[in-house]
Amino acid sequence: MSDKASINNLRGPERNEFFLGIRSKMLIYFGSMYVIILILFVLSELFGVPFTDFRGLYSQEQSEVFQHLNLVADLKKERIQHWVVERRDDVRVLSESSIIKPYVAALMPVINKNSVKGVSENELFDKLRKKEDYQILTQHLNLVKTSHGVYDKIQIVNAATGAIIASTENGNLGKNIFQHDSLSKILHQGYNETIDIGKDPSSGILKLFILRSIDLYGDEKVSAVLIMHINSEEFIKPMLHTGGGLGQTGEALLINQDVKILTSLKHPLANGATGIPLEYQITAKPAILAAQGQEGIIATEDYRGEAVLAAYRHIRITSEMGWGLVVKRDKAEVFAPLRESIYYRIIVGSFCAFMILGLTILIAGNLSRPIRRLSKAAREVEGGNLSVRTSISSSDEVGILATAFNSMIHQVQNWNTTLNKQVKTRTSELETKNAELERYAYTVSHDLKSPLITIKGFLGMLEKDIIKGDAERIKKDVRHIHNAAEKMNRLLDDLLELSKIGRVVGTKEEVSLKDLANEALTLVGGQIKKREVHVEVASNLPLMYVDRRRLVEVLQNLIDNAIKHMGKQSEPRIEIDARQEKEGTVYYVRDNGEGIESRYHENVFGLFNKLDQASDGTGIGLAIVKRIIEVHGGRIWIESEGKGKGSTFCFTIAKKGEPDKHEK
Amino acid sequence: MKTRSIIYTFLTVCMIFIVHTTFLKTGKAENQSIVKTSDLSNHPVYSNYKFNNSEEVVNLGTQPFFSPTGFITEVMKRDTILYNALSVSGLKIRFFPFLKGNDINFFIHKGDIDVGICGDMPTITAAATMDVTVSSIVQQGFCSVVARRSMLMRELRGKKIGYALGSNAHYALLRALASGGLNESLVHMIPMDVNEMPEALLTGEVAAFSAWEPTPAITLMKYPESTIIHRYISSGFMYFTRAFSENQPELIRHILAAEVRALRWMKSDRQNLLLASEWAIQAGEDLTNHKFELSVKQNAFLAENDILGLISAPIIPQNDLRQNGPLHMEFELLKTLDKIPTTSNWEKVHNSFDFQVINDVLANSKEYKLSEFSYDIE
Repeated sequence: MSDKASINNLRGPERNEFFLGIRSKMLIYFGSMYVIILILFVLSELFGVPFTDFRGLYSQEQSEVFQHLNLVADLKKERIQHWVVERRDDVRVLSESSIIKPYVAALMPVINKNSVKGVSENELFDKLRKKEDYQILTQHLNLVKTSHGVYDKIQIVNAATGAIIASTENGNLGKNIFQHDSLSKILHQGYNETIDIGKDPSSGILKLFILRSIDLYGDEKVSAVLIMHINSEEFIKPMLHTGGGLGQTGEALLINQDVKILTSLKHPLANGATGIPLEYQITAKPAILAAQGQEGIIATEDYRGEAVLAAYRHIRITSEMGWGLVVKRDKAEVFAPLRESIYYRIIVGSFCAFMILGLTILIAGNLSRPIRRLSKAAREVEGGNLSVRTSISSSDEVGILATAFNSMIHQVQNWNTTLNKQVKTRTSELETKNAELERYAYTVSHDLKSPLITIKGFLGMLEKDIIKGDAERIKKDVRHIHNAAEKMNRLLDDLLELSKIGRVVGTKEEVSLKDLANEALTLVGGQIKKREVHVEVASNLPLMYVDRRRLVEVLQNLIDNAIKHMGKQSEPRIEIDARQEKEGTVYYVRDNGEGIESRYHENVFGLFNKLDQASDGTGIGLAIVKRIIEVHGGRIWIESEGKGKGSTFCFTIAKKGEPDKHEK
Repeated sequence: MKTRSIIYTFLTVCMIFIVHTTFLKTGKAENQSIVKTSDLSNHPVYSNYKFNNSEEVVNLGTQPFFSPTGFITEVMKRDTILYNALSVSGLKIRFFPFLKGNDINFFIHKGDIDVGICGDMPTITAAATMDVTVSSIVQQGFCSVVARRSMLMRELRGKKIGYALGSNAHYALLRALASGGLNESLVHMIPMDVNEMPEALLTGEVAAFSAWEPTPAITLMKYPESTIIHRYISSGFMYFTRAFSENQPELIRHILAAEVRALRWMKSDRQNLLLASEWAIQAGEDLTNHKFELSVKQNAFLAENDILGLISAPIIPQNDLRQNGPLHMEFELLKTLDKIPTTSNWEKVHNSFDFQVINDVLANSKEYKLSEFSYDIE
């Protein structure tokens, strides 16, 4: 694989790590948490917290604007009501004034007389104009008009004919206004005063009319009607002026009971047209509610279709007539500062969000870097590289984890090395054992077969000798068969004994090698005596912690072996002693017999290995010795300078407390 | 897994709670009919009334705490001209105070009361369900919805609102709710006595209430944080049983003349208005055994606008009775809400209004002594 491919392989998982790793998770968690908190914070600040008294900026702003609209609406309502009351008082005072009544009363007979004669209205009023009473009356009406400055025109109408009999404008004299609805109410419906708003037929100007009956003769009958005209655009419209208090879009408008506007509108209609007073009917909700006699506040759309906050009031002008007053302001303007504030909050919030996301990336990178290193190291370990170590040196949890990881890998590496060694040793041992076992099987089968062949051969001979009846040979055959069986029995006993070593464990005790040697010498006393061997046992032999019976067996075999291989030594001698060496106490049995060539030093301990095939014995004795020594945690070896120079069988035994083979 | 389950459960509970409080928190609609007033024969106050049902005695039902109607009836009660005019015919008049207009209707229906002075709702109810003649307007004032804080009507969704069953304020509340896109089923309507409303608002028992003056004014005075969030103009009328108006047409004119005199007397001098205010307060306290919480001046100030709203005479505005006019709309709403029988006929209601009789009185002011005042002030 090329280097480039290796880099790509490394980058692949790292790229995935970004999306699935700690860094990306922290980014997602913290980032989304911040965004959610920011949104919740802004929303709660704007719209309040549910189920609490905190209503939020939007609601507070709206509430403040509604309070302002309510205040303006109440003030305007009061002002209009007060103004109407003042105008009604003006009319009442004028209608009952001592100047008006006598002059009208003086003129009425003249008017009635000429009416009966069939004089035309123009002729009649030409005559009236020349009369002093009439001149004083009109002068007084003009004086009232001028002094108040409110009234556009003042007229007195003949209740019987409906003709104008006095006016501040001479051009109106004689004109019949019977068709006037308000006049009809006074003349026919029992009202002594009415108020109406409409267009002046003569001028076309929108006017407020206040009418009041004049009882000239105290007979409870309406003789004449006083009509006072007020230009609504001049006097009502200014009362609706909102100034700058309601912003650029603030507007107060007045409608009648049919929801038709009474003054011109501030804004053009939705279609761009201009609303004409008394013609344009508003369909917006606050205007309808106000015209119906309701008062309150509302957030809705106005006549333009614009979203507005509005306060609406009902102004009862007479028991018959009520006006609706709507004071409103565009929502867009009301909440413009709030929107601007939200805009800047969003910008600042977004900036903060980016900052926090950046910081989160940095922090997440710093926090996750050692973990990623650790992860990488773990992967290398997973791949079999136990030499890898992390270089994280921080003292935090990750540092502790890295130290523990290094320590753990170190430990694993040690275990691995030890295990490999042990496996190697065990494998070697197993190979030796296998070889031994093979040899053992071969030897056993061979050595056991040998007496069997002997027995089989002599059985054939025995059969023939029985047929011949040769008693002497029969006896000889039987003896050979017996000897072969005996040999086979000894072989099997020795093999059984060998198998028991290490499998059947005896009790260990501290004994003196001298005692053991004496016990063994007793057991082989016959052979010693027969061969006249001089045995020398050192006096100061150390204590051994051993299975007494087995160690006696060792010494017995070694002494027996030494006696067997004394050869032609004229002064056979065996020495049992111990010496101190580096590895501890070395025990030995030394003879001055035939000696053993170095090439046989190992073989002699093999099963059925006999250097002298003619010698007595099964060839298992030294194998048993070696096995017992090994079971006691020691080893055995031969020291011999060669043929004819005697042999020394040395062995060690584990000290008390040291593990023997069983314990190992 | 366990943590996730807990989070999901928590979120689900939150969602259900929010949905419930936002969309499903609706009140049980009061399905009581305005017409179907419970039997008031054993009412703790009314059961003590001894109505004289003989033809020589006129029983007039009043509402001392229905401002400014209470002023007018208290002045009429002391009008010696009225008593003298009736005594000429061998008649007497007695005034019985009631808490609500529908209570008066109950006793009119029972035959104990001959003349009622009530708000437009009880008047329409009486005109639709009984044979009465409505002869004059008594007042034009406002019923108000008062809340603990400034709010839009739509913010009352799911909230408790106190109201007096079958009253003008009940209708005003329905109109107010409609203006905010709500109806009875979307709020908790709590019927209660108007005297209990200010305290109920303060303690949070209700978020708002609907009542006629002076209850809103008392509330605003006692709890300055409270505010009027909606008002609806309502009228008061004087009406007579049909049998009474047909049998005693002249007597009706004298009673209407007393009303006109009362209005003119109160408007002629502010001291008179204050005196009427004092009388109305006393009558109300006698009725309820509760101390009235506004001063005489405050009470008079409240009444002033509504009395002065009537220009010069208590002539019933014909405009109000036009098709789709305010009274016709109230009538239709009452039918829609099953407050009056759905078979009720507007023609019957319309024909119950007699516009002429008050004109007759006004046209003969000398005969009915409309400009003479004689009150038993002691």
